[in-house]
Amino acid sequence: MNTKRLLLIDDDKELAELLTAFLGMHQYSVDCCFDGQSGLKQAISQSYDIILLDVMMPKLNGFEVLKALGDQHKTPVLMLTAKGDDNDRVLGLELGADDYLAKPFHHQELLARIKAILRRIAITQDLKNHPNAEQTLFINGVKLNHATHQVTCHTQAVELTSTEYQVLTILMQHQGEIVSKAQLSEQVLGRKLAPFDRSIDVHVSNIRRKLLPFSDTDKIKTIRGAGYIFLSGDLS
Amino acid sequence: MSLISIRRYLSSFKVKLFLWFWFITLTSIIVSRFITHQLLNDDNISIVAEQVNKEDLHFLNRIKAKLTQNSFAQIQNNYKRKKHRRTDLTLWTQLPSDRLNVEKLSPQRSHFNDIIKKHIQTRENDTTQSVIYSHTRITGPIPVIYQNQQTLLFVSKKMPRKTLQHFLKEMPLWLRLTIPLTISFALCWVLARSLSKPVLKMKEATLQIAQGDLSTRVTGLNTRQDELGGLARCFNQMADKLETNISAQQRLLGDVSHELRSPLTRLQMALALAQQKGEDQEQYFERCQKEINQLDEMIAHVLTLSRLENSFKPLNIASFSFTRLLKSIVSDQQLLAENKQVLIECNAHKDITIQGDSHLLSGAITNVLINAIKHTAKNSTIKIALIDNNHQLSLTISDSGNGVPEDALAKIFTAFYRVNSARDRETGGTGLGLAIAKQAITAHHGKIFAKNINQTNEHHQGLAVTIELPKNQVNQ
Repeated sequence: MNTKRLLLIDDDKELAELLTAFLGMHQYSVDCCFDGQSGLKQAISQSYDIILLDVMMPKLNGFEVLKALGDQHKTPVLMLTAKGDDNDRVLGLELGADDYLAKPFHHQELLARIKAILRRIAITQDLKNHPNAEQTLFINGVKLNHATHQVTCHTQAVELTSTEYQVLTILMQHQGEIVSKAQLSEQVLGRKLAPFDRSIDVHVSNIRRKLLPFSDTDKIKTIRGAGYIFLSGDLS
Repeated sequence: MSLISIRRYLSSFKVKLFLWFWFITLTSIIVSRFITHQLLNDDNISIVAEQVNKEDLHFLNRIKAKLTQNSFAQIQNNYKRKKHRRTDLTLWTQLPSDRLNVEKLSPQRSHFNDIIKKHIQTRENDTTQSVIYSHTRITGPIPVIYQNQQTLLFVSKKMPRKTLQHFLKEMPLWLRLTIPLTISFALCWVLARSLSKPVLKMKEATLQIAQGDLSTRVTGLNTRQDELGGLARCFNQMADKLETNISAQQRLLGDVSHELRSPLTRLQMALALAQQKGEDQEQYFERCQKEINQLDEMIAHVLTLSRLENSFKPLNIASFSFTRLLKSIVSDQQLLAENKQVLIECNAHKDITIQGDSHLLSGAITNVLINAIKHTAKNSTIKIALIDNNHQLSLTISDSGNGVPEDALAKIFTAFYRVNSARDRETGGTGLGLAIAKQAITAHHGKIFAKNINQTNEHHQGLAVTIELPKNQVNQ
């Protein structure tokens, strides 16, 4: 297994030290930044497999770093948050983070999340590199290009994060069928759906929000208590 | 349902007040009216004028002269024609043989006919005189011979209305009853409302506060000078205090939940590492120990701060020697200072006795001193200076550290404020020490502030924290 490069942006030096030691044991090479500003610089200038981002930091906080990174960045971000409020947790996802983990976390949980995100990236990479695989998916005006990882809606380009791309892919593969939140959670986030976990909802609402300006009708419908359904459009 | 609401309405403060006021007002009106009626029935009071009214006498003589040629009927006709001229004069006749036979000659209506008639009938002698009643002047008699008969002539003159009372007297009874009733009703209603309205306002505000809206204040009553205004002001004061206390509490709770998570996260990671490897195990267990100690310290600090911020516990004020307290604190922290090769130089020679809570003050000074030891450079000196300024003392603790950015000088006394979070974590502070010190000093009506020392020639710099304390605690 090759070593993955990981950027940790957290102002808690001691924790950074411990995390470096711990993740080092699991074949991750960790670079640390202790404030948002230097973290942002490092994230832009270097290429990493994943970024671990704390929220409460001097200079720039985690949310501001996320905003500065914008829709363009392709490096997945895992938020580490010590804030207790649910809204704060979800805010990270809305700003384009791939997942979040509340402090204090269990070390195995941290590893599992990192692995799930990396696996997701690997799948999309795989699709890109695989010439035989179905290159595009085109339903109801929405077109996914697995080769270039690009999404268009009525020929307009839409920027999605890798997690959002993954969610949309699964929904479109099951067009016209209900996909449950549990299924999405397992396939995309790589974990069982926990009660009160709103991650999937936030990802889906992000996709909706991003598709909205380019189409008149909602592409994704929420079925209360069941899950989500990607409408096949002309068939219905 | 409606019966209950009517009952509730009737038993309300406003209605009760109103009914009482009105009842009392009406009773007093009736009683006073009864008494005045009994005591001074001024309609029957008459004053005999010192001189006979010339005007009346002249009038009577004119009538007398006319009677020699004309009959009463003619005079009466004359009257009718000249009605507009002398409406205030009324002519009366009496037969001396039959004193009760009193006739009114002119037809003017008057409410006092009976009084005049009675006066003429019951007068004591036949001397011509003017008698003044409250609204009428009667002059007479003037003897005339009319149709061969001895007749006595009187004239009564209506006096101009002088008072409201006379005006009221001429009103019909129902109006006379309705007017005081209406006026007293209106006044009592306004009075009752002015008393019950603020109470209702206060009730609304209390209810809102009880429902958790702590920003509610009673408005519009602050300028009232009476007890209700005072109550409103006290209420607002209470709400202010509640709001600041609870918001401070909530802010602290929010900060604490965040701050406690940091050591917990480190603890979890350290444990994970300790579980994994053999060789470094000891080191990671030590780490765990350290984090647990910090958690413990933080919880203790949070409790102290919370108590101080909400002034749950009253100060335990007693006189004690501040100098001796300071010296004992310094010797307690000597060990910590020696670990860092720091020298503490204490300039406190004069024995100063002050009043205060020695336990709280000792905690405050210890926190400031520990803060100084943590941030001072290695092998440096911490200077403590105690100055006696008559009514207050001033204690300055200066370190030789890097100081604090000017804009952060005031903020270092707020809970969990960190000038540089990374540096503070190295020194292991909870971020609460100076906040506790500030609360303790404020509770003693003292002041605490920080200044950067900049002595460029010696390249000496650092932070000086000054505590100013009044020696006597005035009970407020």
